[in-house]
Amino acid sequence: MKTDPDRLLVEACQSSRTSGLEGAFRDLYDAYKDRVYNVCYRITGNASDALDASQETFGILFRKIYDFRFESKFSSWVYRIAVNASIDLKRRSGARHTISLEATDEHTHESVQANLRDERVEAPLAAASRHELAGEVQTAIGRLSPKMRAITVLRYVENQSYEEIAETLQISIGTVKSRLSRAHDALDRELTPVLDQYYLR
Amino acid sequence: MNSPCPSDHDRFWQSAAELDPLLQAHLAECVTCHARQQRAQLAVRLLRALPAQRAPLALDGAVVAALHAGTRQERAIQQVSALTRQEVPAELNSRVEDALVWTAEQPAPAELEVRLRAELAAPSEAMSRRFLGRLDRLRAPQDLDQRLTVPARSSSRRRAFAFVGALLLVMGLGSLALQRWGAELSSSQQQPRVAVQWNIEVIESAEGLDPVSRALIGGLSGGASEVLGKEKL
Repeated sequence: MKTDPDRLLVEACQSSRTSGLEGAFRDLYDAYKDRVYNVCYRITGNASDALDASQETFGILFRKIYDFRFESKFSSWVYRIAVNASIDLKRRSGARHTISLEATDEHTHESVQANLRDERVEAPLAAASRHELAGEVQTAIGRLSPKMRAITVLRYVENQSYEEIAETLQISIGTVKSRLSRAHDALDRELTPVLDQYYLR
Repeated sequence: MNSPCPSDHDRFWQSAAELDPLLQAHLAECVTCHARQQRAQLAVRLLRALPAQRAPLALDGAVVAALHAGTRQERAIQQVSALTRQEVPAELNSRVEDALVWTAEQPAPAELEVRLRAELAAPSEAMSRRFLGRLDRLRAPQDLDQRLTVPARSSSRRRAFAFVGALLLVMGLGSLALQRWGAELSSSQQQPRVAVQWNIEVIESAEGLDPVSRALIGGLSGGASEVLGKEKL
């Protein structure tokens, strides 16, 4: 069995009980904060909720890391906590449906960093404001159900394999495939008008 | 000849390298499936191209706050769980037993048997009685008070006037008769007897009476004649 790449860091956290964001836990936080925030952002769809979900994720990590026994990959465990925290947060705030000004602002800026190498994508993006397209894609993800949203983010944003997704979400590979298949159908429905708008006009 | 279109569109989302040769051959022939596969591949590229979000600086502060809050919470839980369990005092057991015994020994009241007999003997009557007893007692409306007090007051006043008037008449007649009888008696001793004549005088006001009669009537009517006399009889 392959050794967990985070084993030393996790063991350091377990051996030194710190009272806050310092020592080994600070190193762990620095190693994971962007990945956790990114997953939370893509699942919740806005910066404010992503911040809350990330905060909750690290709070849970801090409290439970002493009980982690490497029965799964540490990164999968972290992703699972982040995914669950994001889905829970979305469920809790589902009735409110507020629009974060901060999130809107980030949508306008995020696609500036887009790194699309494919020529077929790059050319229309340059012509038809890339930030709008990134926002449309995020909106399409946001319209999926929480479970499908999580699996889409893990598969395409975090580039996880079927096996990694199965471990992260603690479901079978068959379930991963069927759930992903339904997510593809939903994304096809959601993205077709967007693609038509940007690529067929 | 064209191969049939695949029912599993999920395969279009696989990368080109993962596609099996049969599907690749079909895509080369079928325009519809090719367009669909191209759209799926474009969607995959767009999803993968979403810019990575960096954690904002605010996350550091939020996590620090969460960790401190979590530590405080854990400490509180430890303190609470470390509290010693209080023993139940022996007196509580005896009190509870007494209470239970008292409850158990509550006999059915004798009235229950009486009521039950009545119920069984005449169920419909018992039911009527039971439900009639539950009917709400209606309060008389305020209008009724007003309606009753005004006529009652006026009729009692009329009766008082009539009574005092009749009394005055009787007393007047009585005093006249006494005066006449006294005069007759004294004159009969000196003069030969003459025929008695009655003179009836109707007095409409108490003030028309002589003081003795007025005082007599005042005493009999409890002073009402004096009050009413001033108001006009």
